[in-house]
Amino acid sequence: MKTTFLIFVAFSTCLGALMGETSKITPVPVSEVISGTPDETVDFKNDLIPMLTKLGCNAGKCHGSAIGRGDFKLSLYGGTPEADHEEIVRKLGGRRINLSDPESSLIYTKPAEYVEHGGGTVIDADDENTRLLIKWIQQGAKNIHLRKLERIEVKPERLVARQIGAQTTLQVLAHYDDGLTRDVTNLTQFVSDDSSAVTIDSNSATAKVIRPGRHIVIARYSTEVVPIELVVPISETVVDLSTEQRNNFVDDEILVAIAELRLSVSPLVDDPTFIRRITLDLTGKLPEYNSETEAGHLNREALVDELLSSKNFVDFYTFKLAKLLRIQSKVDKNLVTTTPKAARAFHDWLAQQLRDGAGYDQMAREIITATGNSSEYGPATFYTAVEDARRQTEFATEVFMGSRMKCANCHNHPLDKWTQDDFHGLTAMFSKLTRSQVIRFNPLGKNIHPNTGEAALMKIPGGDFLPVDTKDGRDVFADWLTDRNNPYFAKAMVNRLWKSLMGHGLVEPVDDFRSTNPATHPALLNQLAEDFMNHGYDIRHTLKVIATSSAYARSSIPVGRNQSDNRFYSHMMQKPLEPEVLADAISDVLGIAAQYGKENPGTRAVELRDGGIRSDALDILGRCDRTNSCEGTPSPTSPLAQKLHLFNGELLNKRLGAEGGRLDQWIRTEKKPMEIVREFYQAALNRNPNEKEIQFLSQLLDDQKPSRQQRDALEDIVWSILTCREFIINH
Amino acid sequence: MIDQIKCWPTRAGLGLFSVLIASLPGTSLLIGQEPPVTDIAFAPDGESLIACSQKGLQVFSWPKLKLQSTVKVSFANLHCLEFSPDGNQLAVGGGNPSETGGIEIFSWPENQSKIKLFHHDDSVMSVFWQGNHILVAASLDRLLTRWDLKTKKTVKIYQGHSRGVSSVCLLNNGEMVTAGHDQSVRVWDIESGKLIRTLNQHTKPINSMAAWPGSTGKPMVATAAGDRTIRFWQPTIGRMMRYIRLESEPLDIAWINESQIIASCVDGQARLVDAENVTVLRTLPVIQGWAYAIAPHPNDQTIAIAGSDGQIHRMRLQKNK
Repeated sequence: MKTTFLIFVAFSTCLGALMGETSKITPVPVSEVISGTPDETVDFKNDLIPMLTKLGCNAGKCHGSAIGRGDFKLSLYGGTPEADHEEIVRKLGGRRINLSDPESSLIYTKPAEYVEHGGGTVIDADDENTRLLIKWIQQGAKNIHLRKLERIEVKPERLVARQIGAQTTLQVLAHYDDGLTRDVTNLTQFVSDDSSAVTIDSNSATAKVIRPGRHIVIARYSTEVVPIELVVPISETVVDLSTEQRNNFVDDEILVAIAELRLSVSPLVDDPTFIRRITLDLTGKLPEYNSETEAGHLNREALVDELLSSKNFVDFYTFKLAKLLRIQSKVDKNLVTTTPKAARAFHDWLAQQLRDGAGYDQMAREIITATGNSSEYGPATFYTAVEDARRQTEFATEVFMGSRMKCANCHNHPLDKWTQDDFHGLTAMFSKLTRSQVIRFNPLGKNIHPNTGEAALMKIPGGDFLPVDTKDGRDVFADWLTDRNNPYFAKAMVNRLWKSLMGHGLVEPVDDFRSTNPATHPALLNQLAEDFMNHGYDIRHTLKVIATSSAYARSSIPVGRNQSDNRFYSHMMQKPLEPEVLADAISDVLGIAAQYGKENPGTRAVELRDGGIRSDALDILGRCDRTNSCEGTPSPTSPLAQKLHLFNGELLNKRLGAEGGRLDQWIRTEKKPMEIVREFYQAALNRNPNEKEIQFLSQLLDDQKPSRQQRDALEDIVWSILTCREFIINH
Repeated sequence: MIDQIKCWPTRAGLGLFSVLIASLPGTSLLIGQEPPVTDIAFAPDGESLIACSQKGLQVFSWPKLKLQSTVKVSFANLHCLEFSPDGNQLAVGGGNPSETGGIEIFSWPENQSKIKLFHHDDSVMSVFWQGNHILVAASLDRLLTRWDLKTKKTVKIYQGHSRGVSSVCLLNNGEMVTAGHDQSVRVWDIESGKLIRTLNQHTKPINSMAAWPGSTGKPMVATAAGDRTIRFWQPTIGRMMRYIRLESEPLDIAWINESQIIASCVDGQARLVDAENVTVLRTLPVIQGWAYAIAPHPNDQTIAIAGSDGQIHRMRLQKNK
């Protein structure tokens, strides 16, 4: 087949045509773009491998799996073309290729199912894939790379359509190092992240949106993967947001997305609700009730400042960082040991950093480059949290880059840029450390690269190999990580802070940053990161920016058409209290402190300096054991055991009316029952009971009842308050 | 014909050989136009070298490597060659990938097809003669078949490998040893078909196996695998004696005396290995591409190596002075 050079006629192709509306896609200046195969010679890397990817041959469920399939193993999504060429052309005496009779080649007869193929018929005799494959074999099945792919350009990158049923034609242009720009749409695999929302016709490269909302389609050509965002508004009616309060750039960006999706916005909350929300979010503690705040004259910014400068803030955010860094003692002869002293040293170090207002970049640098006795120098405990250097790579990149590099241990990451060299290059740095109580440099430490069987060279993820004579590469890694141009570090942290207050990450999961998992509000994420860096990586500053936005102050009660919104912040997300916060809140309301291990009586759960301290109550409430990542959202109300424990267990029932507790004391002061109930409402919910509640509660509380019955009724009411959704949720 | 002779320094002590290289097959290398040569075998008189590939059987003069004849075989892919002990028959194994596997027996030196034996669902990768009328075939369909050429029927089927079988040989004690892509070496009672033991030390598929030519002591075999090792076994007692990891994956191995083995490798190089001290004595660049097959000459001290793009090269082993 003669190679076709199809020069696009100027402005001939109007891409992304939508049903019932004019495309906004700018036509490609055509004289620069060619389609089809640009050369007479078939390029193995730029033509054949993408074809195999598009057909699904090298996917994880087929020959791209770790052990291949049917004794035929390809690299996942063509990550290592050289190995694929050897597998196809060289292995087993070259039996998959028949140069004398290309159409008898096993590499063709299998997918065409002339011989039995577990994957069924993948190509037809007369389709363009077959022609390309046969042509390549006719040319000698060579491993030829004519040019290097630099990037791909997808059109449209983002599309806002008016209504469901909208269709758009997708186009992918490949830009190569020799200046060639080529239309590779026919060699690109398009995958919808939710096939119930967007369907793809791969033959015509058309995407059709069948459900309103924001959806992602992944375009994959060769080693490049690019997301395409398709948006269909929730409603046909345009919403008027001109009167919505905009306190800072957060609101500007949030309202842009809300307008695009035509979502209704919930109103701002009253002061008591705001106080409970922000106090729980910044200190992990219930607020002290103040009747004056019901008048609606609260200076919210001043409250945020006050909370951020409190001891409780330091305690709570130390707890959050300690969870992130998996601080807990563990003594197991088969694992690396973290002593209780080391866990506490690290916890105390973090607390001091927060007290001092240290920049997060400085904290990260000290942690990454830590050496010494972990019982004396807390950051060294970072290197005893996991068992070995490879897990350290997974852990470090998850914490500081919000990135899951684990896949690249065994193969190049299928959905991200990480290669095995990246993973094992970083692991090589961590391999040069002793993993005992004293962390020290070990010049003999090495990480064997699974591909080469040799010691891996140190390498910056996505960057250069370090010189062979580099001793401890962690300084270089820390420099790279905390550089202003690092695309991960600042974003990963502000995204966690955002989730901490808003209930949902701009990138979710928060430890899964990659190009194929784009942020819901990329411009906002960029601005937050920029602002974070401009303010010395100050955690308090970013928390304040978010906490003083109108978006943060929005009610969690949906209105109109925003009920289904779970990521555009048209209403506040309801956040389950973290297990430790819930346990403390129960203790505070009941006025009876819980006992944790041998800690001093009155120690709060969020103040525990060692996540390994035993507590059945915290475990049942869903405490993360910190053996693995604690990034998931806690859900204390979902598992049955947790719910039963909360309803029926000793955590509540043994302490409701216990001697010395709040209820017991108030009964002894001979307060009226309804007054006691009111006090509990204020302590637990930061509000008074409303009329309907008073009416109902009055029926239960009869001043004439004997004291024992009165006490039982009050215990029941307190129990109800502490198990109601309003209490266990930050709303 | 070009003779590029390079002298290599000799090794004191054990090795008594130096190696000379080489000659090209007569035409310039045309990458991608010739199928790979997958196996080679010297004719019993040493005057010819037979090579198999998708082009069929090719008979070359030795040492000049001049193509004398090409013989068509009944299947597309040819993988192995083995002369019968009397030298009158040549067994060729192969198949049509994922469809059939079989053996075709040719008379030698007439090159007349005498018998075609098809039983397998995939290509035969190795054959071994047990006398002049019985042979064993190892196939990618995971089975081994033992054939009686007089009746043209299978007399035994050996089932046990979980992936394709790449190599088979018989020990002088009557046991059969097989090696496969399931990374295992298996020892069988050839008559009963009973699997005696399985040896699992390899960590990648095994490409080739060669029985030790010595006659004293316990039988020994060497295996070459994708884990880049050559391992030396005493299969009758189930022991791996030693191993060596090469810089490149060995595809084929052949003993050149009782203490030295030569391997043809994925990087196109031949490696001479001291089997007792498990050290590489020499590394010689030979093939541009993969070196699939290696065969020592039966009489003189030369070796043939073949591989990608139809290449066949000649090396000379020279006694150290």
